Amino acid sequence: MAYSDKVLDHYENPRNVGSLDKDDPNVGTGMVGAPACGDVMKLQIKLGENGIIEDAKFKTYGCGSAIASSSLVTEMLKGKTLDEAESIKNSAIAEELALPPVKIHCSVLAEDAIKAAIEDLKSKK
Amino acid sequence: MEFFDIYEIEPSFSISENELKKKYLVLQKKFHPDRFAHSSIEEQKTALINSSLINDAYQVLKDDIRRAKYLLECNGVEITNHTNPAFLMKQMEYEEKIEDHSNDKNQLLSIQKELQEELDQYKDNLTLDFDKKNFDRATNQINEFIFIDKLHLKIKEKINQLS
Repeated sequence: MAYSDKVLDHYENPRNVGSLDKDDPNVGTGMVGAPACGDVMKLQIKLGENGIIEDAKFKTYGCGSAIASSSLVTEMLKGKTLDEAESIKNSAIAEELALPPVKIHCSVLAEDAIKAAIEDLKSKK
Repeated sequence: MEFFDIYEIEPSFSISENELKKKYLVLQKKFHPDRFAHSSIEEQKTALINSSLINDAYQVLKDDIRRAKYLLECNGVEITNHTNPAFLMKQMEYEEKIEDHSNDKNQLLSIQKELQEELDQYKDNLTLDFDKKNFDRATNQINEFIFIDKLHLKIKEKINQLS
């Protein structure tokens, strides 16, 4: 199966790889995984004073589509409010990356990671 | 529990691989379609169905993960994808460790040993969970087992590449 150019681009030049301080009260961490493929995804968001997400980082161990999905998501999240972030759907991720049907679950994992990160952040408030 | 019935094995997570294999060879021989080449069409059909059922059951029963999932399924337990974040964090640490030592065979071997010990521990836990019909914990254990099993395979491949 061939990866789309966009997946390859994110896979070869992943954006925002790294970590934020998970103990920072303004940082939310989402850890999700897919047992079937063994993928593990960590997504972190940092909320600014104005209620806007000012930074997002990820670290993913998994296939190219899982890495590309989480990389893309970090780009999408910056500059959004939590409500806007929460409304990001996996279909938008899959469409942007032109994921084939067998890789849709990677975009679902990325959406789950956003929700988990927001939930973690809210639990700190 | 049809698969266990075929092999006349008490449904449980811990089964004797030797016993299963022996019974498989006996049953496979008994119902092999070649033995029914001169029988009626009806008998040939039955032999074929039996033979594929024997094979399907063997593939599921001999594999720890598939056997555990089958037991859950037979007990009407739905397998969810939810995995504990703390466990996932630990998985990520393993991945990082493997990445950092990807050229150090001794380090990889020691991580492999650690993972093998974890797998053994999970198998013990699963045996206990199924015996006590603690299906919630079994579901959780099997998900984690799958993750570690994948990692174990991955590290094995890496070690082989270095040899």
